[in-house]
Amino acid sequence: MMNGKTIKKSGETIEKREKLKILVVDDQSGMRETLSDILQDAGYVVEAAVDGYCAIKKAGKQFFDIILMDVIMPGINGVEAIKEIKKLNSQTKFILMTAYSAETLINEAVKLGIYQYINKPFPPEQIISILENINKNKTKNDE
Amino acid sequence: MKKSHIDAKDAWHSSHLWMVAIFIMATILGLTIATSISISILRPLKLLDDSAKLIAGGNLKELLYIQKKGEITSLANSFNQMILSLRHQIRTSKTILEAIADPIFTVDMAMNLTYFSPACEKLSGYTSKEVIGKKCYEIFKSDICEKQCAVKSSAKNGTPTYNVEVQMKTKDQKSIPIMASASSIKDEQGNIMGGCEVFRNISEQKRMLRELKEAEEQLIISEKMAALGRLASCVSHELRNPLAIIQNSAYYLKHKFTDQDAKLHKHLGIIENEIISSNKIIDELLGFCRTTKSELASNDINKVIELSISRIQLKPNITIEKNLAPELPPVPLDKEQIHQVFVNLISNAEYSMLNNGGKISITSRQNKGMVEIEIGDQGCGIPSSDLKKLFDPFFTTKIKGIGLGLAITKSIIQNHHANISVNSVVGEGTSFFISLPIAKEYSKTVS
Repeated sequence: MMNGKTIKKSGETIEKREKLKILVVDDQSGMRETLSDILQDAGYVVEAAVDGYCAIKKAGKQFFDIILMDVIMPGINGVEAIKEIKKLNSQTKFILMTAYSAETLINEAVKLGIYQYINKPFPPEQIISILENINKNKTKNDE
Repeated sequence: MKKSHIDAKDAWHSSHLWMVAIFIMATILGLTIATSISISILRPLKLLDDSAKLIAGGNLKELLYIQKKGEITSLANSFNQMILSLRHQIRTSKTILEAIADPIFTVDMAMNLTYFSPACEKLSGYTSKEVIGKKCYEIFKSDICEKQCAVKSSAKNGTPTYNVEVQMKTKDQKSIPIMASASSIKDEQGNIMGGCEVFRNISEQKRMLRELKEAEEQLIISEKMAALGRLASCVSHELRNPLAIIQNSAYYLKHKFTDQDAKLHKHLGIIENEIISSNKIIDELLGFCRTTKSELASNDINKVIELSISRIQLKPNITIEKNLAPELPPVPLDKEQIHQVFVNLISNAEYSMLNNGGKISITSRQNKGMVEIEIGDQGCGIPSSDLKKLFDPFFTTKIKGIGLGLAITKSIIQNHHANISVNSVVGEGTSFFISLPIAKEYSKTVS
């Protein structure tokens, strides 16, 4: 589990983490804002999308290493959005976030090959820990 | 002259003899006629009179037999026809009374039983011989015999009394609820001669009504619970989003202001802890919503008990004593749900002993085709006034708790076609008993 040390303090630069681009997709503005701030301070490049359509549009324009995707959203749900984005880029890793017992959708997402799913509310340390693991693996592969 | 005197004397004597003879003959003839009349008319009339008296007394056993033909014989035959007709009518009435499944009895004006139907014998346990001539209220000991006798009431008002619900007692002093109707028996002039009561054992109807009412209440509760479940599920899920956002914000602030005011950190910590508590409540609510379905599979109950114990961290002053019967037959159960039941009960037991500590005893055993689990504590106990409400949703005695633990427990137990009961003594402790049916494939060999 990560602790406060992972947060980027003012003036510091974290080189390798900045390589990871993260897209936070959630219809709740509070979720987008807070997660973006936490992850940016942890050294990641973060963008946000308000729904599935917006996420597909953004993923079409640029590559994201990781997409944190909410499940239940207006318009298309998170799983449908993952299907579309996977067509654009198969390298992106998906972390599904859900506040609902959407077991059918989660099972579908697992079959699609998502990296992980987490239940809301989750301690931010948990998401940072997951991202750290992905980052480590990516660094190893790059080397 | 002498000769003529003798002749005259002889003639007189002779005529005198004739007269005597005629008188005797007339007497004999009269007697013969009288005897004949007596035999042919008076005797049969006497027989008819005797027979009429017997019939009036209720005896229809004997028919009249008159040898000679004539008017009297014809009368006797009519009399016999009347007896046979009466016999038939009585037999028909008796058959009708005996064919009626509802008990019937009749009484005279002094409330002495005069008829006691076979159905009456069957229900009351008394034989007709035992009760005929006895007071009906001494036999039935109904709760309203003295105050509201149905027979007396109908006799008084002159109209039948229908469907009075009362309790009667059988010979073995068992109290039975009955529905009674009564009517007075009147003679030709309309004078009341007694009464007749027909009643019905309504134990079964009462039981069915009670069960129906219980089922109805259960249905209302189930519907309420289902609605509550949907509401709880919806609200819980909706709350998780804002809770996640608050948690993120608190986390962000906590790490952004690392060297700042200690009170700021204390309050951020409070926010985080309360989020954890709120999330537990949501989990509990969602757990409650999820108890509607159970996926049953044969399991070793002792293993589920062991698993539950291993997952619970008890306070140091509380210990667990296990008395698990070896080689119990498998029980069809939803492992996760029964685990939740044990966790709930063990947690409650722990809570009741928080101040003074104590021992939680967990026992498993087999009893009459069921596997029983007893979870007992030495805690504060539950007042009897609270015992009825114990399994109601949102009933709690805990400072922190929403009172769903035991409601969930009961719901799970019901899904398992099992029973849960509680026994508690204030100041001594509480024991919960769970009876789970054994898996069918094993129940034959163990019963």
